[in-house]
Amino acid sequence: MTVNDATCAKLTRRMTLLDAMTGVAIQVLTVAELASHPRRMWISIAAFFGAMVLNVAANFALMERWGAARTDLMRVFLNLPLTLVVTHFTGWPIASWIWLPYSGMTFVASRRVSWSVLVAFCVGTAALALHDGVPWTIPAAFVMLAVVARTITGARLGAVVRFAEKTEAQRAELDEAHRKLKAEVAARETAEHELAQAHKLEAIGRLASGVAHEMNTPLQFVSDSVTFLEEGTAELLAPSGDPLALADVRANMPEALRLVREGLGRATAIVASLRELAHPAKNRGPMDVNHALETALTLTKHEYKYVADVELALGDVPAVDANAGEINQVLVNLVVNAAHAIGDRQRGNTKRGRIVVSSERSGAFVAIRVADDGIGIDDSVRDKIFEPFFTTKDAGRGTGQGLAIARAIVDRHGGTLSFTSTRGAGTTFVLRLPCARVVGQAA
Amino acid sequence: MKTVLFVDDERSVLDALRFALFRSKWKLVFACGARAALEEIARQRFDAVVTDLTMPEMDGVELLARVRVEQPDAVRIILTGNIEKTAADRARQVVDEVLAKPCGASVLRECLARRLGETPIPSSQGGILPSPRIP
Repeated sequence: MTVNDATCAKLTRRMTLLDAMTGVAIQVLTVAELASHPRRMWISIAAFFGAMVLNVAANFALMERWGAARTDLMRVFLNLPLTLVVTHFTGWPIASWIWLPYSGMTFVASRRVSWSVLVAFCVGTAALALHDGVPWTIPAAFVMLAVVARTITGARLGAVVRFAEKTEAQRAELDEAHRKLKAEVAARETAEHELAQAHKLEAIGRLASGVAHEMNTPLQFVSDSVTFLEEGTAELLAPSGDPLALADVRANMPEALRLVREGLGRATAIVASLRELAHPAKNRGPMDVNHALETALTLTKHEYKYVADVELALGDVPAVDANAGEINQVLVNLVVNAAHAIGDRQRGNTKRGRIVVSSERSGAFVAIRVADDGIGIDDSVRDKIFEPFFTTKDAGRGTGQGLAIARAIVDRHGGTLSFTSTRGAGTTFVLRLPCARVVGQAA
Repeated sequence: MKTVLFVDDERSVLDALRFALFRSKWKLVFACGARAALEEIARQRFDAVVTDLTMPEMDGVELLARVRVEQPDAVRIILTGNIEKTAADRARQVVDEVLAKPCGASVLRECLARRLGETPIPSSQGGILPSPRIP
């Protein structure tokens, strides 16, 4: 039960009590006046009880269902005929000058207290009573007071009910707004999810174009070497070969074969790295961080090889409990960012940058550092770099999703992703991942 | 004898090109990187320059832009493994031909022969499928 409900019940009880008191007072007046006309007196008493029952019923039953305004309107229609009946059969004026306005008053009061109407009613009734020379002016005044009290109570109840109705309407409005907001949030989440997917596809597309470039170079020299080996073999097998060409073929065959082997080795390494990245998304298990770093460097070679040298400082670290595909995505992201940061610093200057990739054990975690001597992160954007869609990169080079997704992935793994940066001097990202629990290890 | 300059930042690519073109009748010059290429251009006249696109220091388009100024008669060809369309479009403005890596030796030979105004050499060894030129 809310405060409003409690107040309503209290005010309804008070109103009912006042109604009863008014009724009893009127009845006393009626009995006193009509003592010499028993038939009229009984009619009046019967009408009174009828009105009482209806009033009380209305107060308790209808108020709840219909609200104050309609209940009081109903009461006017109930009281009006009763008043007319009493007046007709008793010929008693008090009934008309109290009951009728009283009924009207309860209706008026419950909607809006009109003090002028109230005062006019009291003054009018008193004047009428004096004019009629009714000897019970004092009991009549008492009835008036009860009526006033009842009116005020009704007004308060009306106010409370109106307030409750307003509150209810506001709550409904709030509920509606809340529902809309929830729908919008859900829509936004869907959109963000879709964008994250789009970003992943875009990243894969970028990676694919870089990887294609990396593959095309060994394919080119393998292809040329094979052409040479074919034509050279034909030359060697020919009955009368050109001696100069034969000497050339003999001298270069071992080197051509070495190139074929080298090119195939490079292509194999790239394909193996791609397989690592495409690791099934669901599986989580012990993962070799150092191997993952080497994979990430193979895959991103086209991003950094023109701008920076990479230094690997891999420590002797335990396996981490991770989803290899996801962590590879994070590492690729960090290395690409390092290469871009160096590329940005290099505009108009050809000094090569340096990326230091390291791993070490740090308590129950493995700490992976990707440090570059690139452009650095501006103080003003430090707080924003993990926000989705925040980017300082040109269109086509990044959508601002990479680090947001990276952090989400790392959070899922129970790890941390943080950075330190000095403007113009470089940035170091630190990725900490929890070590895998060794199953079956003796305590 | 026509002289052709090949430029790439990968030694292996140049070596393999040298092997694959061992029977050609052109004089072949190889430069590893754009800087070495500029030195060669300053030293002698070329009938054609075939260069990689993505290289450190100076890329193929910049290099060929220099070639156009210094040796306007030289045929300019890009041989690139870059599959992005924008790079190829940018290249097209200063070059006569864009070839995609991996490019079969026969395709390269035919392209050079045609550009140098010679009768195309029939390729007896089809060996590797010629890759399509970037459209």
